[in-house]
Amino acid sequence: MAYKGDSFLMVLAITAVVVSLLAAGLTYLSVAQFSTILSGFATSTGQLNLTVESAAVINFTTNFVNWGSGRVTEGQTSAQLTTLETNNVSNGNWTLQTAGGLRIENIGNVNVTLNLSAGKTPAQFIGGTNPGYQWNVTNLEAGSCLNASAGSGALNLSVFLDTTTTQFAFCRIFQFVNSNDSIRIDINLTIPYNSLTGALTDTITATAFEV
Amino acid sequence: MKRVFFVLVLIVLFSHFSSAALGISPAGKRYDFVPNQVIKVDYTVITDDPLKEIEIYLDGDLAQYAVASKNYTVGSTIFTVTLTLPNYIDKPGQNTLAVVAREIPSDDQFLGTAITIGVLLKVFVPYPGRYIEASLNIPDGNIDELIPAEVSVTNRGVEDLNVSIELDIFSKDGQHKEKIIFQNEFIETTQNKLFRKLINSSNYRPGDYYGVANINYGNSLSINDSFRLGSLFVNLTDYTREVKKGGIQRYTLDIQSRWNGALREVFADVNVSNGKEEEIFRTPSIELIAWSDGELVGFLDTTDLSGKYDVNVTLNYNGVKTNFSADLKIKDAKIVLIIVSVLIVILILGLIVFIASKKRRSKSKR
Repeated sequence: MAYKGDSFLMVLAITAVVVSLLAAGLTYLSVAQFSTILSGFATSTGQLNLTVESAAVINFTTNFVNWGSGRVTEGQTSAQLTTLETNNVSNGNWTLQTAGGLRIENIGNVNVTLNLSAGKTPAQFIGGTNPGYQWNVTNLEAGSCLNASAGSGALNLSVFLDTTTTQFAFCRIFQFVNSNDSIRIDINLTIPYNSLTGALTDTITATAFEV
Repeated sequence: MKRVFFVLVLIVLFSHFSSAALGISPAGKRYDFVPNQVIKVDYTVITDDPLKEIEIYLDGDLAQYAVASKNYTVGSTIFTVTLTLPNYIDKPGQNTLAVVAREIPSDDQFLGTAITIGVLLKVFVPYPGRYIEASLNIPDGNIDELIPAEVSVTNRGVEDLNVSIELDIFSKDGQHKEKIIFQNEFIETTQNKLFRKLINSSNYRPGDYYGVANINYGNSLSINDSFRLGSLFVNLTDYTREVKKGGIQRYTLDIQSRWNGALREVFADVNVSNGKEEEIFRTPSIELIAWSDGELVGFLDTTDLSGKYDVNVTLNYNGVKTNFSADLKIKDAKIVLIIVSVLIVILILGLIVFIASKKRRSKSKR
């Protein structure tokens, strides 16, 4: 009985293989014939046209600094406020909300120049005796800010400089290449004990022109 | 649900205040000066803040001849700049019109920011008389290839020009190799022509060359460009000369491709022997791009090796094998340790003797 069953299965398997081979052959022949008769395949050539427009775009990824409300510690002549990660307030009780300075990224697809200007002088912004208002531009990504010959010499980077209300040129080339397109602006304020009071505000303007 | 909405509003407000982008498109518009031509360009002001107040203005040499269809917008916008060129412009060369978008700042932060962004529309005004801008480009190639030599000439003067070019090829040491004469061309003012000839490098040897193109256009101008002719050769520039004895040590080979093309699967077979002992190993393969340097790193079992050895390096690349001879010293770390220890002991003894003699002298003085 077992022998008969095995034979039957063997015959069935061989039949299945033969039928499969026949089907495969027929399919092949049909496709070969079909491709010569009717097909969606076009023999003419196609053309793709597109235009990529250039754009000069910069983005302040961090666009404000706020130390909140505070005052100079009694007995001190001035307080110092910076945007650095540590020791950002001395001789005062202000609290820096977000450390790390202002941050600018060139998100366009052309290189630009980058100049900065402050809206007010230290006397107009802070007032009092010997107020201080400085900025420090550094590359957040290496090589973001370059000189006119695309080098790194003679750049006013990584040093605190007095702010100016006229435009101060920091980068002759502010690159757009993804891994070299971010800079950081740290601020250093000296608030004298007899400074202006109330809400003190100023605006730093970044001016960028296509190179 | 209300709470979620409140949080979302806060997130939107926070994101609104934490970044600010401003831009203008298109940048880099360039035209040649045509008297009385009217140029119209549509510009887009790009901002991520639909409530941002933006001033639009024009600046630069050509601002007096141009008008913008808008001078103020809130959020992104499209506007048209119409530049009506005059009959004549005094200043030859590049004249620019700056199209500027300026964010109007708001005093709502202790220290806030604003952006002013500008793109340039450049109009080139031909120089008086004859004036050309030219460039020579001869790319690197390989021996037996045809190397294209291209001279691009742009007529930047007001006069139309007949231009003839001769290109001289020199080897690095100044030996004249060949003179190539291009066909004369007539170039109208503001127009550009590309002169192209092929250098047959089959009569050259691999090495460094430079070409000097002498351009005659009524006046003359010489420009040059250097190029390299490569051969299918990878050179061994440096190798490990000394390793410490003991276990498996890193062995490096510095190589340099002299081929103007990529070489895949570059590897070395290294045979270290002194007639009695022999160690053979193969480095993993690397890919070298044209004319590049690379480092092959292998590992040498120094367990049974000590002293000086001859090294035979076979570089394999593109079906080619190149043999180099090198040498290797396998230093027994124990011997080094003993020498150093002896030196330290001598130094300490010397120091003791020196201090003792100094003390003795001071006692005898007393």
